[in-house]
Amino acid sequence: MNYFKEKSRLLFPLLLLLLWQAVSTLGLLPSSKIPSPVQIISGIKELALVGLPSGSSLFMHCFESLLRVTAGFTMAAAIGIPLGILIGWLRFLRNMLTPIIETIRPIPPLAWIPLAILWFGIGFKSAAFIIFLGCFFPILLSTISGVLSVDKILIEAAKTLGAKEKKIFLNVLVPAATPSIFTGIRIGLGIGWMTLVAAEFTGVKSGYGLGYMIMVARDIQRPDLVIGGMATIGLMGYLLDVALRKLEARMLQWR
Amino acid sequence: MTLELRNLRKTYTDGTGEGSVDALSTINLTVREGEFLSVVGPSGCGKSTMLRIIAGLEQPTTGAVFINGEQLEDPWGRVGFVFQEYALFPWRTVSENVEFGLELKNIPGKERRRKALEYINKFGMGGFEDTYPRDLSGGMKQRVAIARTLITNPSIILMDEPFGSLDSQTRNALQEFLLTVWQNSRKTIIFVTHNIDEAVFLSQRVIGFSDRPGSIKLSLEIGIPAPRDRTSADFNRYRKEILSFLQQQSTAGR
Amino acid sequence: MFNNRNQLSLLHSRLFTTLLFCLILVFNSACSQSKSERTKIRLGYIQSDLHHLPAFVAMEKGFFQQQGLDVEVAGAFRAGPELMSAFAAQELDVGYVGLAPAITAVANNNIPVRLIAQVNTEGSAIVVSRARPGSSVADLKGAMIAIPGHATMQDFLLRKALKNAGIPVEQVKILVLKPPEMIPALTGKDIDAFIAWEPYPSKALTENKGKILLYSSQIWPDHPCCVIVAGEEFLQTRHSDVEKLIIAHNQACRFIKDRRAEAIDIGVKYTGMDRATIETALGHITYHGLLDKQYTSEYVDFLKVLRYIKQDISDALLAKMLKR
Repeated sequence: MNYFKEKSRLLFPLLLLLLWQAVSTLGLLPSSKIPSPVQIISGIKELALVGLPSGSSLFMHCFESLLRVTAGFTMAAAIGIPLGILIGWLRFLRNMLTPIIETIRPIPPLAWIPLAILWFGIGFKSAAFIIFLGCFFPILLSTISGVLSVDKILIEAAKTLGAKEKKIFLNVLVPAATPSIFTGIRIGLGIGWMTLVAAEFTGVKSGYGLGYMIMVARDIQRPDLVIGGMATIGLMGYLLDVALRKLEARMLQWR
Repeated sequence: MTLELRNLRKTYTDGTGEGSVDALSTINLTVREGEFLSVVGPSGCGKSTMLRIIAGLEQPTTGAVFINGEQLEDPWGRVGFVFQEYALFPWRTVSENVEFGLELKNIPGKERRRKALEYINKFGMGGFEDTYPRDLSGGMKQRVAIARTLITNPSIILMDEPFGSLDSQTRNALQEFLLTVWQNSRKTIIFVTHNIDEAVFLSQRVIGFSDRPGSIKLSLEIGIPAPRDRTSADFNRYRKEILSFLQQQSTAGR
Repeated sequence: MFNNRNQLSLLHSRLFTTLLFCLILVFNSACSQSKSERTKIRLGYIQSDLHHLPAFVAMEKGFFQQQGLDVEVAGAFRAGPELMSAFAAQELDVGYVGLAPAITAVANNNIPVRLIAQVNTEGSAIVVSRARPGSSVADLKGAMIAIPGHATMQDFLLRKALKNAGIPVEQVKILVLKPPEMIPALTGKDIDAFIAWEPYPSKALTENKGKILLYSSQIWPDHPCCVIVAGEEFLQTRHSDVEKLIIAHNQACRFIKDRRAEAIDIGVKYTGMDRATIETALGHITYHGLLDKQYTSEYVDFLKVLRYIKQDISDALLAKMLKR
C-alpha cells in the first residue's frame, strides 16, 4: 500500500513531462523559448560530460557553489542561533532589536550586492555574504519564536526541581527550542541555496559556480543549458533538504 | 518541618493599574510535618495560586510562607511540584527526566543512573528507563513526574490536580500508588483536587476554599483509618459534608 | 486503482489545470505568429553602447525619415542575448547588436535572423592598472583579467593577444564582469587587467585609473564588432525598406567621421558619459557598413573550437546568414 502511494506521487509529474514533450515535438512550443524535456536532459548530460565553459565540469560547479553556501549558511547559524536565543530570552533585548531586524529583513539579498562588493571585493567572500543574508533571517526568527513558545510549565518544573538560571537556559530552554531552530535551519538553508545565483553575480573568481554556469549558458543563448543548470540547482537543493531532514529526525527522535 | 502561611494575599493588577483581581484573600494555614492535606474549592478560587506561591513560582502581594518559623526565601528545590500536565522534558528519556534533579547536585553520571533506576523500578516502570515521554501513557508519565520530584528529597511536595487528565481507572490506580509512596516516605503533601472522592480517600485533612477571592472556610480531619473503603458509611459521610460545603460556596457567590 | 473518490477528483483537477496551462501556452504562441504587415520598423539596440552610435545619429539627424522609413525604438536592451530573445519573441524587426550574441543566437537557438550590415570594427582595448609594471601582453602572465562575458569578441581578442605573445591561457586567470564594474574592480585591486569595449577603456584613461596595454586594432586589425541583424521574415517581405535602412546607416557612419563634434554630442547624450571620454573613445572605433565573410568566419571558428556553439555552423549556414 505504501509502495503504491509512493509511486503514484511520481505519476503526476511524469504525466506532465510526457505532455510537455508531446507538445514540444508537435512544434506547438518553440524550442527557442521552451526547450523540450529531451533537450534539457541532453543538456544536463552535456553539462556533466563536456562542461560549460567547455572543460569546467558540472561537479566542480556544484562543489564550489556548495562551498559558498556552506560558508554563508554556517555563519548565519553561528550568529543567528545564539542571537535568537538571547533575543527570545531577554525582553529588553527583544524590544531594542526588533525594529532594526524588521527593517532590514525585507531587503532582498540581491539589493546588497553593490555593498557586498564594496566591503568584500569580488569573489568568494561577497558571495558568501549574500548567501549569509538569505539564510540569516529565517534562522534568527525561528529561533526567537522557538524560545518564546517554550512551554512555561517546563521552566516552572525545572525551577521547582532546584534549577537556577544557567541550568534552565542550557538544559530546558535550548532543548525545548530545538525543533523550532531546526525548522529555521531547514528554511534558511533552502533560501540560502536559492540566493546562490544572485550571490554569484558578485563575480566569480574561481571560474566555478552553478549560478555562474547558468550565466554563461544565458550569454551563449542555450536555454536548454540554462534550464539544465536550474534543474541541477533544484535537485541539489532538494538533496540538501533531505539530508537535513534525516539529521533532524535523528536528533529530534524524541518527537 | 511545619509549613505556615501567614496572612497570604494575592491581587493581580492589569498593566494600567485600573483593574485588579483579588485571587487570594488572607490565607492563614499551618500544615503539620508529614501531613497529607487536600485542598478543594470552586474553580478559580485561588487554590492553585496558593500552591504556586508556596512553590515560589509566584510572589504574594502581602504575607509570607514560613518553614519551621523561618521565612521561606528561596523555595527552589525545597518544595517539589507535580503538575497536572506532567511537565516531563520531552527530549529526555524517563531515566534522564528522573535524573534531572540529581544533576543539579553534581552527582556523577553512573551514580545518577543507579539512583534513578532504583526509583523507576520501585514505581513499577522497570524496562521503560530509556523510553521517551511521548511513548508513555498518562499514568506512566505522572509516575515519572512523581519520581523526578521525589528523588530530590524535598521536604514538601505540592500537587496541582495531578490525576485530572487521567481516566478513572488509571486515576484509582495512581491514587493507590500515591498513598503507598506517601506511607513509605512520610513527606508533607499538599494536594489540590476537584475530586471529592480522591480527597477523602487520600488525605488526613481536607481544607475547603470559598469562591474567589478564596479564603479557607473548611478544615476537616478525615478520621478513617487505613485502608479506606470508598463504599463505607464513614466515607460517605465525609463525602457528603464536603459536597454540601462546595455547593454552599457556589451559591454563596451569586 | 484509486482508493477513494477524493484521490480521483484530485487527479481530475490536476489534469484539468495541466490542460488549461498547455492550452494557454499554445494559444499564446499561435497568436504571436500572426503579425500582419506594419509600416513601422521596430528597432532595438544596446543601451548606453557607444558602438551603436550610428543608430543614435540616424535617429537624431532624421536619416531614417529621409529615406521614408518610420523607425520606432522597440527596446534599449541591457545586453545582446536579451535583444536576440526579443527577435525570438518576434518583437523586433531590426537590431544593433554584437556579432557574438547574433551568431550564438542563430547557431544555438535557431533564431531566424540575418546579418545585414556591419556597425563598427575595432573599438576595444586591454586596460591594466597604472601601477602595473611592463607594457606588453607578455607581462600579463599570472594576472587576473576580466572579460565582459564568455564567447564575446573581447574573450576572443584576449585569447588571440595571449596566443600572439606566446602565453598559454592557463597562465592567466579569467573572470567575467560587466564592463561598468571593471574600473572599480581594477582600482580595488580585485583584478589586474580587463578587456572591454569603448568607452570603458577611454574612461579608465580620462579618470586616470588605468592605462591602455593594447588596443584591439593592434590585436586583430579591422576585426568586426557590432552588426545590424534583421529578422528573416522582415527581410523577405520588406526588402526595399531594408536597403533604405542600410543607406541611412551608412550615412550616419560618414557623419560620425566628418562631423566629429556633433557626433560626440550625440554620443554623450546616449551614453551619459563625459565629453572627454567619448572624444577619446571615438578615436579608436571605426564605423562602417561593410560585412566581411572571412573575419566573421574566423570568429565562428573560435566559437566552435571552444564549444560555445552547439551545432556545426557550416559554411552554408554562414553564407545564408550573410546573404541579403
